This record gives sequence, structure tokens and C-alpha cells, in this order.
Amino acid sequence: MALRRRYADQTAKTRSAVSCCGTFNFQDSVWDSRREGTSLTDIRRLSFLAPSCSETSFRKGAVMWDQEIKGMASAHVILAGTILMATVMPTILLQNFSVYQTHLVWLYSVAGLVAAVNIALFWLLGVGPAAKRNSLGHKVSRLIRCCLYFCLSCLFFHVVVLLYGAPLLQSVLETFSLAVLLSTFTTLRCLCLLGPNIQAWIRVFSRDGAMSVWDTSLQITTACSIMGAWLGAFPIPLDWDRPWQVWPIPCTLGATLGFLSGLVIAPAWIHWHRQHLTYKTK
Amino acid sequence: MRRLPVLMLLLWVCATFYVGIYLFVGGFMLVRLEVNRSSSCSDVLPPGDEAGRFCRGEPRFRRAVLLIIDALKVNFAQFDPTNIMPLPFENKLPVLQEVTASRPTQSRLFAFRADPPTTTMQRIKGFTTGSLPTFIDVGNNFASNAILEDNLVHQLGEAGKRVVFMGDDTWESLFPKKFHRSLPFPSFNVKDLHTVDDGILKHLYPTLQSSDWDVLIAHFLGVDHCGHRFGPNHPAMADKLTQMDGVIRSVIRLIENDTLLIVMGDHGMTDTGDHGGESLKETDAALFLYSPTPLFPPPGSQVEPEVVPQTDLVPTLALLLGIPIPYSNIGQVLLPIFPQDTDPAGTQSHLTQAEALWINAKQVNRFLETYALMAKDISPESLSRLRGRFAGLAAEYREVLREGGAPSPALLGGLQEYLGAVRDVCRTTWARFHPLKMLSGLLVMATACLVTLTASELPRLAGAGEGPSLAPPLVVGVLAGGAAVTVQLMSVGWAEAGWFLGAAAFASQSVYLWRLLRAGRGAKASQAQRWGWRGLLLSLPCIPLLVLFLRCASLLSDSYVIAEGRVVTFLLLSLGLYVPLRLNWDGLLFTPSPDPQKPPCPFPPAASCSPSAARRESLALLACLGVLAASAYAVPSLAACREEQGDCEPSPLLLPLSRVQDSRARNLRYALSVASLAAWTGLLRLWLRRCGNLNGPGPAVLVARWVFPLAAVSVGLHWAVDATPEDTFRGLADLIALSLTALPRAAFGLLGLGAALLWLDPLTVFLKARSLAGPSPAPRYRASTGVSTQAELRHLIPQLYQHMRLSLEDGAQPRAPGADGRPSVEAYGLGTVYSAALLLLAGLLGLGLLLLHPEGVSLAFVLLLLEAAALLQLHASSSNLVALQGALMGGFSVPWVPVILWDLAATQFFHGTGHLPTFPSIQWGAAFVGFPKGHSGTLLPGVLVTLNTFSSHILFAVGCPLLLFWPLVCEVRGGQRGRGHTADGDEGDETVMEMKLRERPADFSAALLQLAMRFLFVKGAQVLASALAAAILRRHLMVWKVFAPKLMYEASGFVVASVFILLSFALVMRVDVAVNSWFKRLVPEQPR
Repeated sequence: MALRRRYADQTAKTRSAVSCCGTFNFQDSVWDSRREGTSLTDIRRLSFLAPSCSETSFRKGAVMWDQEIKGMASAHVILAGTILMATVMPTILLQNFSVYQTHLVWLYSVAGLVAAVNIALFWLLGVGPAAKRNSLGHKVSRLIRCCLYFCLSCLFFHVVVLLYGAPLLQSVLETFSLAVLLSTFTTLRCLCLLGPNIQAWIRVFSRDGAMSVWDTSLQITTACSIMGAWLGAFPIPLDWDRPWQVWPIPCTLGATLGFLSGLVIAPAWIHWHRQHLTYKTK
Repeated sequence: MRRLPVLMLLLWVCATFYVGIYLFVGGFMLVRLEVNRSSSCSDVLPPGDEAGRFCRGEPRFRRAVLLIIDALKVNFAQFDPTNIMPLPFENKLPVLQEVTASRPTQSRLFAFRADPPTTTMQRIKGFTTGSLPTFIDVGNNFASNAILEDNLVHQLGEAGKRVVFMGDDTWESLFPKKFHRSLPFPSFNVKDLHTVDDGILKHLYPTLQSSDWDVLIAHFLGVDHCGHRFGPNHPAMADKLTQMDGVIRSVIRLIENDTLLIVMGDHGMTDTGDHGGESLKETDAALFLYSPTPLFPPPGSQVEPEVVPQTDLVPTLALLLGIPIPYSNIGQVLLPIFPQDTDPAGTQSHLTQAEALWINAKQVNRFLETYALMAKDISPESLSRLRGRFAGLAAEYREVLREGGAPSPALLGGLQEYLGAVRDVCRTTWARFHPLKMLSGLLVMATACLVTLTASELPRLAGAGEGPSLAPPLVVGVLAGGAAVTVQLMSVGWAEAGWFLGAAAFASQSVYLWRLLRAGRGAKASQAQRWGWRGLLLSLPCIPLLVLFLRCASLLSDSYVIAEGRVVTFLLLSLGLYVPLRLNWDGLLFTPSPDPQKPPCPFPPAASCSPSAARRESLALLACLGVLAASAYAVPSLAACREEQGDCEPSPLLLPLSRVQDSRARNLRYALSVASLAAWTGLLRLWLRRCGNLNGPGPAVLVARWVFPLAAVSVGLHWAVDATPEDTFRGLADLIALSLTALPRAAFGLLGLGAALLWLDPLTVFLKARSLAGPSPAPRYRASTGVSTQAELRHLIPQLYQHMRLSLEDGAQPRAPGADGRPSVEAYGLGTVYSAALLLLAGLLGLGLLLLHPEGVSLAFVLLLLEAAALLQLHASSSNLVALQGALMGGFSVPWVPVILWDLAATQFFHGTGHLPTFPSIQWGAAFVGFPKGHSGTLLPGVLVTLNTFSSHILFAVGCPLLLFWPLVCEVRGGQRGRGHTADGDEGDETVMEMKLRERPADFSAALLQLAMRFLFVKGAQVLASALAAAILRRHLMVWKVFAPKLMYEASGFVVASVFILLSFALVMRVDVAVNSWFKRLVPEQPR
């Protein structure tokens, strides 16, 4: 199912209305179908059999649209709060905790909490991949594949970070922890949203690949996390001798800050561009 | 294709860059004015109330022996009796310790701190004139010229002392005809540890025992050469130092009571045995003073300096020997040598500490006044402060004299402090700049960058002859230069070449830029598009240029310059990863299953549009990225280390093989080097053969088949001979010496011959006329893979050229389209005729450059080949993917990403081949490859060292046009490759590879020019950034250590690379000429 984003023609009102109408009905059905496990053909039928566009349906679509953005924004707020929690909680619970000195504790508390909250949020909201079969065996195999993919992505990030110049043998654990953190911020969200389906991942990260606001938000947060980690490497060579310049602290902090800013940017950007954003079928 | 205009344009752009660099460097590099006045005993030093007393008093010593042991680091002279397992350079000079312990009033050992640059010639200048050398002197090491400033040797001669010199022949060129007797020995050959020292030892003792001398200077070079050749940690160093120990013992035994012995090192050495920089390891040498009669106060009775600056030797020695202190000296007398107060018996009138200091201070004050009159670079505030300080001290001193008492220690301290202050002021002000020149240099460079950028965005106007010509800008430039000269003549009375060039360059640039932009606006206006600066800026891709910007910005931070190797790798990898990400974002990578609603292939409906082709290309692209990442990851581990990088281990492969002591390791290393050499040669040959460029009898083919491997063999043999330890084959010494000369020269000769042949006839095309056509309705000229057995035997990939058929049809039988009996023509290697010549040139050059490096670097060269191939393939695959989706671009434009990647890779391999942007890391050994006896001139060694230093820049510059050809060489031939007879239906889509370029000469020259302009822009922007860094941070702590060397390396790297860019583009033009005449020959040859 190839989908594309297109710029709505502001001047041609009717066309815009039609397109919006089709889109929002489609969105609704996706929303429903994902919960009820409707097949893809059903979606297509629904969207094409939608009643002709009228003012009311347009308004209804706009409302749904806003609701979806609001849902995503609140999810993002919860995630951002989780990161803050993960930083604040250990200070209360543990003695001698500091982000720099006991960096790995902080890192894994952030990674763990973010992972848990992410999974919980996606499960509660039901914004997941449409399950084709609901058998237990299928679910278990999916779960195993998800875990496998997560581990593979940790390894992949580890190798990439090594290629970027991380020390090979010294502080392997630190490097791997950075890979885990990056996987949590990027791969885990992909897994939650798209399932263990590499094709879909590749598709999402293309210009026309986003199928919903969640996909767009995934694009933005992933790009921001990775850019953050990339930018985080910049201060490492400087001779300032600060405690936060120790490998891999700048990169983990950069990734976290990038993820946080991605969480903020994504709803804002989608809200700002909601006039132009349409997720529609062929 | 427009050949000459394109080349001229490139030449002009390069020339404007050179002018900018020349102007900037002229304003940035420090110049110290030399005061060409001499002191004499009759001088009256202000304040002049004690006339004629400059060299008063009885000289403390009549004679002196100055033993200079080059690179005698302070550690070498120390003795630690508790050290039971001394390293080769430890505890090898026990004599110094014994003498200072047993005769403490007669001898002292000091640390002797040299001023940077710690190169031998500058040091000799420093400790004979007492002045500070300036940065620009670094370059003079090859052509040292006579010292014109007042110096010790001159003063000794004036005083009638007989100076006998033996040793390093640098002295002879610095002080021509100044010695009573001189025995110079050649110093340039660093591999020779013994000639100079043995020559000195032959004459030293007889001279000492004769009475035909007053001052004896002996300059030993063995320790320094041993450091350069083997490093300090080598048994040869132990032998050398033990020999020196014996020399010092003998001299101490031989000298008489009126003689002072000075043993000193002129500089230290790093842990690898090099010197030139300003780390403490390089600056701290040893100074040992010995007198047969008591000279020093008993230890502990006075405060003695820990470290003696090198300039302090000059006034000390002058006053001890009773000669005037040289005019330009800013050193301070070494106080412990002088008695604290006059001898109460009054028998001897030696100078006291106060008198010596007072004379010293007056002399320094006189120099400061003279210098302030001549040059205005000392700031008035510090000058008046120093003057005030001196006036106060003088009044105080005269007051004490009048009262007849002894000067207080506070007064002595004040005089010392004054001398130290003068020294500091001089040190800071001799970092003097010419801001206007620097600014204009920056301006010219920035405009040149702008010109390259604009021209690369408007290639059709600049390159294909639709735009402005170069003549008017040049005329305007010459006029502007003339105007500048006139203004200068009117205002100051003399003209300077720099300003003429600067004005000419800037004027011509502005005129060209203006005309180009106007033409651009006109051309775009017809297409109803907005055009202008904003249009130009908007059309630039931001991510690749952002990476370039980051690279340039990194040049403004010393930390990033120090970590340059890793920074470049980081950026290279980032930009490399950007390629597939971007393709995926555009939906071009791993295109999803074909869209049912869209027609599968918009146009043309060729076989190339299959999803499997896209998939294959995507996989190829990712594989290339893997190779790129792997080789980029491996390169930093091959690099050398800067002294600033604390926890860094230099690559063991950089050590020359002769320094490896374990014979097993040596054999392994040699095998690795030879394997790399074979890989370099074999891979290039394999590729040429695969493309069918190794057939036929042409000279270029001859070069590829014979000259190339032969040169590689001689390189490998030379390494073997060079690595042979000197003592192993005594009987074959002559043969080894001969082959050390002959083998590299043979390799150079072969490579030169190869390049010449390549230039004469660069075509690697083999023409084969087939008497019979294929099946009758078949095309008359068709792909014939595997048809001819002969072709199979030769592993040919035949190339069929569509255009040839057309021209043959037109030329030979214009009105006979019938197919019967016409011979078809197969031209092997025609499709890669341009790239083959370039590859061949790069291969030849690579062998020559490899010869100039230590053997281990060959591994880096193979990695370079792999990385370059991966880059090219990455570029080709991404172009193919773009083309497969039908997003066909107009010309053959090379996008920014591969160009920037190409340049980043060049910088990366600059480090990978063991080079660093610092002066001590220059591999001087390159000058002796093929010339083990040294050189007579300075040009040839300079060229060899430059080639060695910028080898990776050279290789990547030569390979630059490949970026244009590679996508054509690797274009996707949809489904018909390797399947012999399927060509029947696809006549319209036959592969013509690089001949596409020939079909559209205007596009070809435009694309060529655009590529060159982009590459020059990328390089020029980095030169501009490092010049900017040097200008902004010119008072930075690290400016002489980091930014100035970086600027020099960037600038000379640009010059060298641009020369080779011009060369390689000229070769492309040469091939084009040859191809054209080949076609002309071919057409009439066809039988009627």
C-alpha cells in the first residue's frame, strides 16, 4: 500500500475537501481496523466507499485529526516526564548518584523506563501494527523476533559507533550502553509501531513513507535522537577537561536531549503543518 | 569539446588562489629585522660615563674548546647510578657525573633550553648571535646562508683569536671565511653516523696538542643522525654516546689551565629521534662547563639557575674570553661563573657579577634602542616601560659606584629582571604581522572561492563557451595591477610584487564574477526563473556543504586540528552514511514492489528499469559503504602521533624496516609490504584488463603491461636492499651501495618513461575488424562478449560503440543501409579509454610515491586504493539508482557529495600515510631515496620531500576526473551483460560508456569544468578556513605549534594538489585529442 503526502491545493476548495474527506475517513477506519484487526482490503473498501464529502464530515475529520495530535502530544509529554523521572528518581533512591559519576546507572534507568513507558503507551493506545493472526504462537514468535531485532539493532549501533571512532576495546560496556540507549530511542519505537518488519521500517524513513501522524512522529524523534548523539560527539576532542566530556557521556546526553527535543518538535511540527499533511491511499 | 579555454580558466582560478595564499603568508609569517651593526671594544655604551670599558678587565680564559654534540638531550647527560637496566641512551656519559661530583668548583651541568625552532641551523644562529630566530627561518635548513648579524665568531676574529672549526659543514656556510682553520664534513646525509665524527676525531687531539688555536669548535653529528635513523632507543645510540664519553674524557685530560671546556647539545630530540618543534623534549639539551682551575662557587653557596636559556651562552662566553658582546644579543650572563665580589688581593681584575650584569644590561639596552629606531614593531608602552626600568637601574647602579660600595643583591636582581623582561618583550613582538596584507590575502582567497562556487553552479556558462570569456577580466586585472604599482610608486617610492598581483587577481576575479552572474541571470531569465544570489544559494545542497562547513570550522580549534585524523574520519563516515539515507528518503533505495497504478517504467522502456537492477545496485551501494567504512576505520590506526596527543601510539608500520631489530618481525613486515605492493599493482592491472584496456600494441598498453610491473619489482627490491643491516654482508657492501642508488633511480626512470609514453599516446584501445557480420538482420556492430575465441583468450570485454557506426554510415556509405558483407568493428577498451589513462597515471605515480615512503606505508596505499574504489562505486551506484528511477539529469554533473567525500578521503590518507601537519614530522628520509650520498642542490630534495608529504593529495587529485567517468563506466546495462547473443533486439540501448561524453562535447567540457571547480572550491575553502584561523588566533598560545604549521600544510597541499589537478585534466584533454584523431583515422580506413 503505497501512500504519499501531498500538498493540498489551498485555492481549489473542492479538491481539498474531497481529499480531506477521503483521508479522514481513511484515518478513522485505520484507527478502528487496527483495534479490530480488519484486513487491508476492508480498509480500502471503507475508504473508497466513504460518503461524498460534505462540510460536516470535514469538520468531523478535523476534530479527529486534532484528537490524534493531542493523543500523540500527551504520549510525548508522558515520555518526556519519564526521562525526567528516570533522572530524578535515582537521586532520591540511591546514594552517591550523579549523572556523570554513575553514568551507566542513569543510562539504564532512562533506557529501561523509556522502554517500559513506550511499550505501555503503544499498547494502551493500540497504535500498533495490525496483527494478521491472533494465535498465541504467532504472538510469541513476534515477541521473540522483536527481542531479536532489538538485540541486533544494539549490535548494529555498537558497530556504527565503533566506526565513528569509539575506542575498540577500552570501555566496551560504555559503548554498548550507548548503543542500547540509541536502540531504545529509535528501534524500540519502530518495533512498537511497525512490528518486526524491516521493509516497513525502510518504507517509513522515506519522503512519502509516513502513513499516520505516529509515523511522522517516529521519523522526527528517530532523526532527532541520532542527530543528538552525532552532535554529542563534537565536544569530545576539546581540551576542556570537563567531567561530562568523558566517553560516552556527551553522546548519551546528546541522544537523550535529541530525543526530548524530538518529542517536543514532532507534535508541534505536525500541528503546524496539519493543513498540508495528508496521509492518503492511492 | 573546448579544451584550451577550460584549462585556461582552471589555471587562472588556481593562480588567483596562489596570489591570495602568497599575500596572506607574506603578511602572516614573522619577520625580524636584522640589526647589521657590530660591537667593538671602543664602543661607548649609554649611559656613557665609563668610556672604553666595554671589554675591560683581564679575560678569565685565553682559550676555549666548544664541543657541540648535536641533539645531546638533557636526559642523555644525566647519570643515575641506581638504574641497573639502563636503556640504550641512559647512563652512557658517566664522565659528566664523575667530574661534577669530584670537582664541584670546576664544573657544572645545566639543562640548556633552546628556543624553537629546534633545527640545527637556527640553533647555531641562536647561540652565536644571542638573538631569537624567527619562524620563517625554518625553511632555510637546506640553503643556509651566511649570518650577517654580529656574532661570537666574528668578534673572536676581530679580537685576533684563531678560531679552528671542525665538524658539521653548516658552520662553514654560516660563517664563510671566518675561521682560522676549518675542517667541514658533509652533514646532510642523516644515514651516515660516522663520517663527521670520525673526521673530527682524526684532527681533534693533534689540534688540541698543538698551539695553533685559541678557540676550537667541534660539532659532532653522530648522535643526531643516530636519532634520525634509529631513534634514541637503539644500540647504535649507546655506542655513539659511549664514544662521546671517551671524547670528553680525552679533551678534559688534554686541555690546559687557561682553557674553558664547554660541552653542549644544540637541541634535544623527541622519543622518535626527531626535532624542530617546541616541546620540552626537543628544546632541552645539556650544557656542561669545565675549567681546569676553580671557576664556580662551592655548590649550595649561591642560587644557581635550573635551566639556562641558550642565548645566555653568548654574553657569558664573550665576557669570559674578553671580547665585546655581539650587538644583537639579548641573552643574560650566567652569573655563577663570575665572582661575587672583586678579589680582595686585587691581583686579578676579573669582572664581578655586578660588573658583568651591568655591561650586559647596557649592551641589551643599546640594542633595544637601535632596534626601536629601525623597526616600529615593539609596542611603545612596553618600550617606555623598559626604558624607565633601565634608567632607574642605571641611576641606582651609578649611585652605588660613586659611594664605592658593593651593589646590593636587590640591584642585581633588578638587572636580571630587566634582562628577562627585554627577552620576553622581544619574544612576543617578533611575532609581528602585516594585517593589511593578511586581509587582502583573505579577500582574494574568499573571492576565488566564490568564483569557483559560482562557476560550478553555472557550468554551461563557464565551461561550454556560452558564458563570458576570460580575456576582459585579465585585461582589467593587469590594468588594476598597474594602477596599484603606480599608487605605490607615487606614495612610497617603491613597488612590491605582492600588491601588483593582489590587485590584478582581485580585479580580474570581480570582473569575471560580475560577468558570469550577469550571463547567468540572462540565461535563467529566459526560463522564467528567479535568479541571483538567492537563487544560487537556494540551489546548493545543504547537508554536504554543512559537512564541508564543519570541516572548515574544525580548523579554527586547536583541539580539532590536533585530532584531525579522527575528525576527518568522522565526517567522512557521516557523509558516506548520508548517501543511502538520502536515497531512501527519496524512495530510490530498495524501491518497493512496482506500483500497480503507475506504469512500471516511465521512460525509456529499457530493460534497465527492472526492480532487480535497482535491488542489485542498492546492494552494491551498501557493500561499497561497508568497504568504505572498514577502510576508513582502519586508516587512523596507521597514523603517526602528534606530541600533544597523550595516549597515542604511532603505527609500528611507520618505522623504517632497517630500524626493526627482530629479524622475524622484519621478514614479516617485508612480506606484508611486498604483498601490498603486489596488490596495488595487481588490482590496477586487473581492472584495466577487465575493461579490455590491456590489448593491442600501443605505447600506453606497453606501459601498463611491462613498465608498471617492472617498476613495482624494482621498488620491492629496493626495500629489501635498504633493509639489509649494514654489517651482514660485508663482502657485498659495494653491491649494496650500488643497488641503493641504482634500484630507486631505475624505478624513477621507468615511471618517468611510463608517464612520457602515456602522454605521447594515451589510447588503450584495440581495434579488431571482423570480416563477417553476425546473423544477417543483426546489427552490424554488436556486443560480442565471448564470440571470438581470441577475445576469450584475452579475457576481453569488448565494447561496441554506437556512434562509430553512425559516423561510419555517414562517412563511408551514406546511402547504402544494406547489411551484407560489411565488416563490423570491435573496439576493445574504448568505453574506458579516459579512465584507463587516468588509472594508469595514478598507478605509476602511486608507485613512485610509495618508493619515497617507509615500506610499511604500502598497506596504507592499498587501503587508499580500496577506499577510493569504494567511493567511486558508491558514487556510481547512487547515480545509477537515481538514473534508474527515470530522474535523469541533464548533463554529466558530479554532485557535491562525492567531491567532498573525495577530498575528505585525501585528508584522511594524508594522516594514514604517516604524515602530520607539524614540521618535525616531515619525512626527510624521502630526499635520500636513490641519492644515499646526499644532494648538491636544494631543488631535487625539496621536490622529493614535497612529493612524499603530499602523496595522498596528489593521488586523489589525479584521480579526481574519475568521479566524472565512473558512473558511465559502471552504468547499468539492463540485463544484456554477459549474455552473449541477447543483443539482437536492443540495438538502441547499447553500452557506449565513456563515449557518451564524446557524443556531447559541450556537456563534457561543462561537466569537467564543474568537477574541477567543485574540487578546487572544497580545497580552497579549507585553505581559506585555516588562513582565517591563523589570522584570528594569531596571538593564540598554540599559533606556532598548531595553526601556523596547519596553514602551511593546507596552503602547500593546495598548491601541490591543484598542480596535479591541472595535470590530470590536461591528460583527459590529451586523451580526448587522441580519441578524436583515432576516429578520424578510422573512418577513411573503412573499405568501400
